[in-house]
Amino acid sequence: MLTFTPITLEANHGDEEAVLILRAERLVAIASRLGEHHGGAAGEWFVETVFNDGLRIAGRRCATLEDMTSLIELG
Amino acid sequence: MQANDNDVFGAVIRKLERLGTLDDADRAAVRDLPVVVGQAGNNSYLVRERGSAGDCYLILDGYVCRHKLSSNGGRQIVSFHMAGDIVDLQHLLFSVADHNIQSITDIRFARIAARALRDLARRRPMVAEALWRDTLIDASIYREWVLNVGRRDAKSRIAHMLCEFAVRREAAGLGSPERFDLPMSQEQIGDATGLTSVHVNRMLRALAEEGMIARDNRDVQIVNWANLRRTADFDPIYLHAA
Repeated sequence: MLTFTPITLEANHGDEEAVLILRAERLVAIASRLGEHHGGAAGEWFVETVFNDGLRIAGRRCATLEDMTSLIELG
Repeated sequence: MQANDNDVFGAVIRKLERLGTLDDADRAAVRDLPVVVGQAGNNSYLVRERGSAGDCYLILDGYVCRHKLSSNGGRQIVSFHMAGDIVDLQHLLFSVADHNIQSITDIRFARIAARALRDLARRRPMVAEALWRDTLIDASIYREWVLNVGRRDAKSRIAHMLCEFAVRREAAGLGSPERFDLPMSQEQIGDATGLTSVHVNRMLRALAEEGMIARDNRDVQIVNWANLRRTADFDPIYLHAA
């Protein structure tokens, strides 16, 4: 089961709201919430990085964290 | 449409004269080429990978890209081309396309039969040299793009793409290098630089916040050329004045 731990990124591009995505206390990925300057994508969750090379979802976007769960579980 | 109009041959001759010295006989031979002018909408394919390729295309208006697709559907744009560029000289000698050529705006083009262009090159050495030089410049640009995607950070990649676009646009006589409409979408810029459209958006914003560019949608103004060039690690020598 995945858990989402809110964090703040020290980013200078404005997308500071983020979550650590963990499974059994192991870090799977980091996703940030896109700000207003991303136009139509604003508010979506963006996969910044993934720590398992087999999970090819870096750079993908999801409307909600529920969708993010599906994306990760389905790989 | 059969084209005998001077603007098409003028475009071919201007392109070749940027690459080499032509005499009157060379120019006359170019004007004898069978050329067909056509137009296509945005996202149209001029050439498809693995397709047979019997023609060469000179872009008269608009922009196209060359790209390749990976087996998982990922697209890598390997070059952008603008009015005045002949986009597939390799088809003078290769009959099967090894990449795609697709418009990124509405375009107008001149289609020249590869066989006719090949015959012209055999008869007119200075034309052959100009075409050869063009393919060598293409290769030089590819080398620079490999460096850009492989070894530069995200901000430098975007800055480099902007610098190259500005310089090539000016060399092609398409207007000021300091202000232009960028024809590529952020997704296309991402596919050319190995970044996501999210990263492209962030980097364009960073370049603007740092005072190197100003932009309003696709209208881009280069405000501080020296800083942009430094950030891009841009040295135009690889363009060989193309």
